Amino acid sequence: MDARPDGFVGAIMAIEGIKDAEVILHGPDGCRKNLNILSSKSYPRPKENMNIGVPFYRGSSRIPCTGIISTDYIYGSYDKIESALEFVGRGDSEFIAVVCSPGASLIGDDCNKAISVNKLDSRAISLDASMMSEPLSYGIDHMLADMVRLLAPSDHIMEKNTVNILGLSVLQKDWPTVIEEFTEILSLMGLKVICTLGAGCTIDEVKRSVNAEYDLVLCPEYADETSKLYTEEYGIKEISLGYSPIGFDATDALIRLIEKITGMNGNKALTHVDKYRKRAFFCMNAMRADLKGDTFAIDTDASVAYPLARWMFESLSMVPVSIRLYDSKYGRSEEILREFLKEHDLENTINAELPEFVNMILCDGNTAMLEQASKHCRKGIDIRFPSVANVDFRPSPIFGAKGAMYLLDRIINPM
Amino acid sequence: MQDIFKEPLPKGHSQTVEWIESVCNKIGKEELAAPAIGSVNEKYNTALEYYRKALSEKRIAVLSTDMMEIDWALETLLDAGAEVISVDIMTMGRNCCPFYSRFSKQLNIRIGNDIREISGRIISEVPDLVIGHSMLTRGLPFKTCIIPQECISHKASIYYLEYMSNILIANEKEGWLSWGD
Repeated sequence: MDARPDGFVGAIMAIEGIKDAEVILHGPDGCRKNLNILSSKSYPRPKENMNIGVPFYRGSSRIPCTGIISTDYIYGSYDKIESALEFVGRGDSEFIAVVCSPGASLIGDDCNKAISVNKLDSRAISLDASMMSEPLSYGIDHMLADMVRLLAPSDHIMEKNTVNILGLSVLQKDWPTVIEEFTEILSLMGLKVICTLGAGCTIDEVKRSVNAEYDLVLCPEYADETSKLYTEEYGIKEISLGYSPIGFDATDALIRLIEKITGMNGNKALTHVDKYRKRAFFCMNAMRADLKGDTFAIDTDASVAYPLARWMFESLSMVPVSIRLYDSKYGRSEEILREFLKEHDLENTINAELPEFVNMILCDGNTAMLEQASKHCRKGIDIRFPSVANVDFRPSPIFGAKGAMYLLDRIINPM
Repeated sequence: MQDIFKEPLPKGHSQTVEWIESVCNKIGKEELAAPAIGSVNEKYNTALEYYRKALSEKRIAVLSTDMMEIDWALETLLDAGAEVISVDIMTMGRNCCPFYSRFSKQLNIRIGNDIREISGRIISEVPDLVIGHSMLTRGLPFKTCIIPQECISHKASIYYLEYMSNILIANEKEGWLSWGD
């Protein structure tokens, strides 16, 4: 059984990551529970929006649902989706995506007709149910690209020295801190962020995003189609390492790449990274940490696995024993990872089974907790969604200099 | 509760095999020894086969003290096909028992107390790996690894095979050491 989230979840979370957008689930109430919890956990909204007694929301702040029942599977439930769209369309949402649950998609209600009847064509789309068999990253990327296509104005004027941050979603670990740090880095280089697509942005920012001069891609699997769309349709230049900025060296490399492509000065941004690197050195000396020869396993996307494995191998002299990758349609990061492992005679670690015991496992928060509790590892480190047991009170990203500090804190400290 | 066996717990693989035989004899259940030893040997041999790729014919220098028992580690190295080129033992002050190793005749074991002289000798021998006490091996310009304190049973030998193999793969100098530059 593969319990990893799929493209269907990704597509829904892509929309849920937009401040003033909303997903309507056309399906039974039970199908909404997990998605509602996931959305509320990944991008919490104020408690006062609990919508108790409000039709379709029924006590939840997110993901209004048509609540289809058994007889609807026989007689159809078009009226329900039309009413739901009519009701939600009267609200504040600037954008609505209609999603059919797997069972409801078999009924075949015409959601596009319901959108047209409610005159919502300019701000609503119906999501293709086939996303269920696609990777999570593709679901997010494809959904956001579709949304940009629908919302982008026909004319656009390039705003000099502006950037969109792509490849982030609200499923990314501590995404608000990632945005905060990279907005600061870009600002130190004289660049301004227009839109953090899919991660806390507004519909207005999505519309303006086509005016940006550059796209900064933090996680390429999650922005392959979107980045191509911006480049081909709007002439926006892509800035991408081909993998994520994890660890001090990869963050430095990204800053130098931004410098090269934009022609802006990156010295202040490099000093920002260096400040954290020096603090890390101070802490490492204080701990007399010796991890040389300790083993680690990684379970995540290739664009994260490559810089993470490389950083742990080069900076901490640890040795990978298993690197398992999430499905993806973007192959470049996996190629780079394989080249790196081959160079060190470690290519057999790709998708290798976990050994009986490994010193550290870096994976989703739920698995990390289980593996550590069952003593299959000395330390399970939460690097990605799903992680339902913890909330990040302290900054806990994995990207950038702040991400390096979080990872070191988890790797080195006993608790 | 009856005190049935006063011997210390076994260190490494061969002592574990002997220990199982002794315990089974002591409790009068000799028939249990063979399957238990079979299981221990199977696990140890599987690990040897796997890690021999990394350790076979590697030139290993050992630098330890007369206060440590290292035979279990030497046994593991030799079983894995490593070439133990030298064993240097530092004398650490007054010690009631002289250093003893069952490999004294087989290996080049040198006893001394001048670390500069010992280090010089090891440097001239250019080993692939130096194993021993971290305080002694620290300054040597080679890959180094400790002899762990956890040495009970064949599992310690298996863990040590994995650890030494990883040290040979791992980056020689940790990148973080240059973060303060």
